[in-house]
Amino acid sequence: MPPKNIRTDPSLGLDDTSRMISVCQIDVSPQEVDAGGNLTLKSQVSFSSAVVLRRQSVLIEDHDGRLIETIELTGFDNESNETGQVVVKAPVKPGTHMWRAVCRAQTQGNVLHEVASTSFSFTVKPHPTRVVVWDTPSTVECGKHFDIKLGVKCPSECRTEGWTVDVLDHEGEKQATATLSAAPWPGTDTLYFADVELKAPDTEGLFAWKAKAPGNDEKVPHADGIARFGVRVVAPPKCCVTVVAVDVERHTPVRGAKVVLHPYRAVTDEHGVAQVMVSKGNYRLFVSGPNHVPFRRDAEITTDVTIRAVLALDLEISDADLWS
Amino acid sequence: MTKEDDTRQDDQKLKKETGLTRRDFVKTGAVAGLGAGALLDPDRADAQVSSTGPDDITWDYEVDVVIAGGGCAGLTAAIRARDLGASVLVVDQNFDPGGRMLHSGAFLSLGGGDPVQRRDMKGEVDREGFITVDPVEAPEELDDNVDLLFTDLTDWSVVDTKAQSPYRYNEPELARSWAENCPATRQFLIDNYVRFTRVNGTHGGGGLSRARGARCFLMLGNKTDIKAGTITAEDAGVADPERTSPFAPVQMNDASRSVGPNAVSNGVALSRPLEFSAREKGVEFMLHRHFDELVREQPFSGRVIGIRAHYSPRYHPETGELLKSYWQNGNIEEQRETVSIRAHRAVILASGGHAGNPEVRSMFYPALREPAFPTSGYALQGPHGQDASALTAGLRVGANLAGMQQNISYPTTFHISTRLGTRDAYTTMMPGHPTFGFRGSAGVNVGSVGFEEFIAVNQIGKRFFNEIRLPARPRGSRYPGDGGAPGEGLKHTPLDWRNCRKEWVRKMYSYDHGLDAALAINEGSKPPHYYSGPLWAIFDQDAVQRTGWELRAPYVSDNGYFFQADTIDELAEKIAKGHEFQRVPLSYLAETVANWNSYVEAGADPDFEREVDAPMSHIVTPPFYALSIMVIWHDSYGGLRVNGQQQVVDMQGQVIPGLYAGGEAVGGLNKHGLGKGHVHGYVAGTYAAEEHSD
Repeated sequence: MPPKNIRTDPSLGLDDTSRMISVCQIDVSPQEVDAGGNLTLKSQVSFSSAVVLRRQSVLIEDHDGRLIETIELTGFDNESNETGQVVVKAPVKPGTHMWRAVCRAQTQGNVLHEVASTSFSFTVKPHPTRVVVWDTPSTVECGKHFDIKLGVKCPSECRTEGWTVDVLDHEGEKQATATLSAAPWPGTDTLYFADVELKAPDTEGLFAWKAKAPGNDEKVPHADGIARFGVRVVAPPKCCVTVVAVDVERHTPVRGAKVVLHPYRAVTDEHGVAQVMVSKGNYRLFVSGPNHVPFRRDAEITTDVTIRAVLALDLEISDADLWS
Repeated sequence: MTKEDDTRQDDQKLKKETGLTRRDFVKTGAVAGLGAGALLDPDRADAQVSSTGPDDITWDYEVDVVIAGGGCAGLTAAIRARDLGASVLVVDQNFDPGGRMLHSGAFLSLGGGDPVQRRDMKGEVDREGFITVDPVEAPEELDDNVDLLFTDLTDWSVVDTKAQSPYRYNEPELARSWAENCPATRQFLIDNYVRFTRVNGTHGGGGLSRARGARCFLMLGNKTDIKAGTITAEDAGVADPERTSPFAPVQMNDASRSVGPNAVSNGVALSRPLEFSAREKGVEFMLHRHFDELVREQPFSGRVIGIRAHYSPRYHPETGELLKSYWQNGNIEEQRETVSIRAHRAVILASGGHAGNPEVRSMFYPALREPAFPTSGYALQGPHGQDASALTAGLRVGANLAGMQQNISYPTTFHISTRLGTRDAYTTMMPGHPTFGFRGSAGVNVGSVGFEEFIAVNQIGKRFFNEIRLPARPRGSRYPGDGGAPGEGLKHTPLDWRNCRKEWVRKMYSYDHGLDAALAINEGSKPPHYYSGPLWAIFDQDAVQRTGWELRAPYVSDNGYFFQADTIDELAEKIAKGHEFQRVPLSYLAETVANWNSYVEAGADPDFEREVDAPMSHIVTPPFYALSIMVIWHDSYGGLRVNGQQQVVDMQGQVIPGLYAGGEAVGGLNKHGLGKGHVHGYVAGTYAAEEHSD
């Protein structure tokens, strides 16, 4: 609605007083905010003609009319008065909230600036819950127990210690419930974690499991958090593949080299040796790093075997070569 | 129709212009130097002496030869012109001379039977006796001459592993001049305190037939003494593996295998000796001064009679103090916003190429208008480094261009660096040099094999290519001939059509297009520029433990090129907030990582077939990391057209009188590295000094 400038009826007792209807606008950012998160507000109040409002404020009221914040009009751009930006806390209750910005009536000289108000809305969301699963073994024998780690993080820095997390198998059956530690995982700021023991299915295959941190509303609402992870279940391996990793030039063992015969994995020891138990079958063997070009060999494994992997050093392109 | 007499005249002229003759050397030093006395006192800056120049110019300085840029071409030209009696002023936008040369590996590929080739052929050592190791190359690999070098430089038959032809499009006159002046330039450098290692190989663009490259070295000692050829370990940056010095922006390399014990090598051993010699001989320097434009008598005719240059101060990134050159003698302190400098004999443009100017380089590869990817040596050179100043100024006075397409044909012109986590991803510069702060981090060099430890994503968090193949680069076509021609070494037969037989080219071709995928338009690319945005290596704590990557200062910092987070979502948020060129959120990152982990479990990467090249590893163990992956546009090949005397030629094929150019400012000679610039400088300095003084 455009602003109006109305000459009042003398019979109303406001002789020679102009009534000026103003318009109040408000910018809200973001439109979707985490529960209890920060909302940035900025308001403008304008009139039909240029009027500078002095010592006037815009009131921010919630849906029950409770005062949330008072923002002083501090700027004037020749058309409208505006407040600075102010940050207020959003409610914690999820859903759409309707608030109101009010500029109270004020008389300057013989001009009455009437009450102006506007409603605005925003949506409060539960805090996200981020779940991480790691240390899952590359293979697990049918029906055997195995361990994983899982952690939960609230990006709004809510402490998740003591929360419970369920582990659900590929059929949605709960396999375990873990309680998060009192201290975050080393190297992280607020990723609280738990060690969980699980039991593999009795049949071979790659199964999609998930860790689910149920949402809760203890203090601040949190959404469910889910992380999916694979469980590779294999029959008991029959063949032992021994890999000896050697540097091609120095003829020295390569320690810490990755040995992968998908899905089986190992790392070479200080003698450059890794032993991997695998089922019979066709594999692509990779032996790689550190700082060595991957060794690759396709092989059918039918019995115990030793493979010598001669690794070439990754020749760094020197600065001299690059620069001159 | 051409008359017979005209033809003869042209031939004679061509002969005269094909490089320097013995007579040129005899002239060296024949004229007394003018030095600083030739410069006007700034208090008398109102002097306007040009009788031929535009009337409204007030010259602030006057000198015989003005050189824009103090790098390999500029410093060489300066010394050469000074040797020949000219007063010389070098104007450089940076605070310290040297340009890229100071930062380089100092691999100087010349040849044509140059003095170092001959020395090694005879099994001799350097005159100071520093070299104690035997020659690396056999005598027959060093048996070179100018004609063979020229043939190599213009060998139409060579096609490289990128299916480009590095020599076919070279300007013959320029190539001939370059070849003829290689031996003299090598000797000139030796005469100006530059020491050369044993010859070992040849640099790209230097031909396939002979070994022609040697590096520059100094000997570790108790004192840094250019005349004595020694440098302290601290100055060389070898006393502490994580620290360098104001003297050496980049830590020097061990050169014991090509010299002997205690020898160190890189551009410091080339640039500092030349700078020392230049200052010793009276060359003057106006630093913090960016060359802007040429002054020509008429916009497109007449002589070039001077330049204008503006103040371009660089300040210490931590202290805010004005950066100062390592040596001060010969410096002219000038802080006026703009000065005009009269050149009585000539102007030499040696202010580098255009790799630092995304707008200019976009004419070769529009995707590289992306400003997220600077040129190499960004921290040392500053924001004006390689900004196409010579190209821009030359075009304004009518200069022609040459070899522009050759920008695309050298393997290292642009590539993906294996050094991650720093914007200046091309060097090992460490703390200790005053410009390290502009870099902020030294980066983590993960090597080519390190690319198997992460996934590479673009600005929206999507993978774009097989990571293993991203850092792969085609090899340059150079001796020993294994980069782009059948056979190796002496087996290479110049001008043989079999070199480019299509069956061979198909067999040899080995270009991975990962870089092109990295620069591709993606969902985050917005008009009008459609920037492809930054690139990120995403990995987890397991990768750190597998590799031992040191994610600490000085290798990484909070400069927006390294991030660590508890979760992948948080990592994406931190990148979006913290990187200067991350214009859009990495909306797909969490999904990409989840997909990747499912590929690892399945043992197959349906998107990019990673399982063919290397093992794949989960990205699951917190914390999670992101290191920037940088595309580097290293150097420039296209540029101003010059003749065999390094004179700039206009669009009508006519020489622009009084204007010379060299190094990366010049096109038409697809020669990588320093050798091109030094010879250009040598030739330009010679002819510029011999110009008639007006």
